[in-house]
Amino acid sequence: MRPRLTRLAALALALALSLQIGCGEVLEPGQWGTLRYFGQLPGETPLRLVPPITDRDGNVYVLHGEPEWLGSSIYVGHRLGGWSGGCSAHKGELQVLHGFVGASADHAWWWSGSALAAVSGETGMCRSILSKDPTTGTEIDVLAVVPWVVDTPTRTTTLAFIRATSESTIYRVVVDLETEQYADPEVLEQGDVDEVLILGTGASETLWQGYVVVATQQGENWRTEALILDENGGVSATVPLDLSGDLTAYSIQGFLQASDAGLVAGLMEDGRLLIFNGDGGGTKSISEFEPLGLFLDDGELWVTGNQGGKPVAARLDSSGALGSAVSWQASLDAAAELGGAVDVLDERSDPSRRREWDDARPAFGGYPFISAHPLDNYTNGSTGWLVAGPGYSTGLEGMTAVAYGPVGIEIP
Amino acid sequence: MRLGLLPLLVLLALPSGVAHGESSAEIGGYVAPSFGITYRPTARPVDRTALGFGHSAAGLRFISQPADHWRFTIDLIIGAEVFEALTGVEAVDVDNDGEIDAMAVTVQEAIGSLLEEATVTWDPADAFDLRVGQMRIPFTSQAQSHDMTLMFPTRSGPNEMFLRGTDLGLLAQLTAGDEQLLGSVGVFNGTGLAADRGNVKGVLVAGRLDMSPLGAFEFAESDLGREAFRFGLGAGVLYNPYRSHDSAGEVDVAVTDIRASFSLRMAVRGFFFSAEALLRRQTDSLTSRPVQATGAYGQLGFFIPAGVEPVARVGWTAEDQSFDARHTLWLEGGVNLYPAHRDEVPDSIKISVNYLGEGRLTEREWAHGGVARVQLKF
Repeated sequence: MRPRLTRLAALALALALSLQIGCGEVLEPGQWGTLRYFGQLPGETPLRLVPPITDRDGNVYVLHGEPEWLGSSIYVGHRLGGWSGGCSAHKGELQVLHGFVGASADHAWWWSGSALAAVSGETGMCRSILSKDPTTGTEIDVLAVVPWVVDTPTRTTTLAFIRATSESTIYRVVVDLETEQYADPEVLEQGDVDEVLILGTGASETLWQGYVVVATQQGENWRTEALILDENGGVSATVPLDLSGDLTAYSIQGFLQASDAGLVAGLMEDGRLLIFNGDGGGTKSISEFEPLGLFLDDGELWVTGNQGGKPVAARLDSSGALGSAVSWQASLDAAAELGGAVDVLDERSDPSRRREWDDARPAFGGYPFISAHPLDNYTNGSTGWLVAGPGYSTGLEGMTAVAYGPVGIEIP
Repeated sequence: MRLGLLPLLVLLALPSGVAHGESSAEIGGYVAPSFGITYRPTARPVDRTALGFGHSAAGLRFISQPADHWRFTIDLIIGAEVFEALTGVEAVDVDNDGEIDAMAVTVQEAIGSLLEEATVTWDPADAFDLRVGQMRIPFTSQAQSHDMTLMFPTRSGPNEMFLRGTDLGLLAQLTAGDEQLLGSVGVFNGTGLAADRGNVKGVLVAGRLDMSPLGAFEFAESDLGREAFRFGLGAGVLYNPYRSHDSAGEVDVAVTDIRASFSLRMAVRGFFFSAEALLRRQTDSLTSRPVQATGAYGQLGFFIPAGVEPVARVGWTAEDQSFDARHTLWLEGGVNLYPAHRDEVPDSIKISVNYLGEGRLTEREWAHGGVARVQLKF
């Protein structure tokens, strides 16, 4: 009986190991998975896109800012194949595609102009939410959304700053993304305030914190501070920031991101790096390379960008000190793999078909992975990116074929 | 649902014990009303507290052997799975601006799958039988325990997360020694549906091996007989390759789903302990994103001669481990009372009072529940 038992135990162990093998990275750094061609977008590369995201079920979301600012459109790649596309939402004259707010099991939300919009991963249907006050019918502008969807078995919420279009008072609210209602409104600024500018927002799902950087004018004086919010919209800390120079709304590119040590960083539109923690913060200039993005890896923040036309990354330690820039091989490899002909799966209609693109290239930004928006954790060791293919011109505007693809990522 | 009720109606039309050829149908079952409370501290007020009588479950089991080496088993559970069926949908324009703002739906309660088992078994030899029909796949140790003999009112959370419900298929079972070795291999549809339903086509192959070196060890989860020391080791595997088809009827994605379980059970003089570990990995031809999960649970009970059995269970699962692991913890405990424990069937009356706690650790949310349940077995 004993040898038989040993053999069975060995068999069971082998089975367990075979199930666990590859539980980390499924794609090598720089290696692309199946490229899913979902549509032709107006514009030419670099297109007005942000890094795509996925929900828990595996649906893919691609957000495109339309040329001439007619709005923003969302495309949904369904988890077992096929795409829904072109659902649009935008509000206001503010031509800012802020980006994705987050995703739940089968929905995603994004913030465009002063609109907050929801899209279903199952159907691809989208709609603006919180566009009107349900009681008074007053038009609402969504001035800030924290890119953090708190998705629990009983609630799905996010945090936002809203204002009636006809009024100046700004409210801090919790948005119930299921009922599409807001709750717990708190006035943002009490007293005599001339102007309030939202400079940017961010979040840390690890620390369970949201961040909003606000500049407030009283007379000739501007006060700049970061509000650290909990999941119920409460302000757990107000951090004074030392920001010099002209302040403009939404001057923080993409979203703020935070390390597990509590250091928060964001890229300003003039290239400076904004960093703060619970005690305070300010801006830092980077001369060694051109900073273009942030990357959060295993709880640590990296500043990414270009140096001599090549992708580089520099580690930001918990005190805010920036390490030396090193070449980002995974980004170079991902770009190199697109050189030459690539196979894509044309999923624009059923049945899907294999095609070959001769001139594939990143659809936005320069090199893959460089963005001021948080990158999707597609798997442990891979993210999603967008690839541009052949284009044509209608005479009025150019059109570019775009595909989504998972790609292996690793920080240098 | 009409088809699901058909076997019940046919059987109820036959008086109990009426001869079918040489044999008659053996009828057994249970009735189990329950009362429960659920408290979710962080939920909206409407969902925060639920208090009242739960659905009364009733189980009916018919076994008959109309001919040598041939028998059938029908196991029905009525009221265990009640769901809200959508009966009406209406678009609502809340602010009368011409745009649809919400969908108003009307629902009615409906009974889910009634059939726990409907099988025909051919047993040409003592050590071998072949079963075909709808049944619970013997993937885990707990999946082989009948509802009437579970330690808690329901199977553990990890067990239900890795494989829930029943399926249609064919199962070959082999025993060796004095039932010290029990093996099974089966082929199932893998969807729980008839083969002509849905756009997913595949096959599920199941295998399970249980060893109890010290003698036969049934899958009941209490040691009401307070017998000598027994223990059992087991392992199960599911292999489910399937293909999903698009609206044009062409293959969209090929998926391979593999699950494994490992179990340990032991019992001695009223003490019963069991633990299982569960693994899952699913890959496909499209996404390069495996679905990966791990789970485990352990439960123990101690039946003392006064007819009282304190019980406790801990369960844990980690889902979505390949991209954003989500951890869930179950903490359960309580007591089972057996007022008729001195009778021939000691668990003919079973009163259970349990605390059921579920913590979504990643989402930082807990739900607390209590359930009181009376089960009468006949």
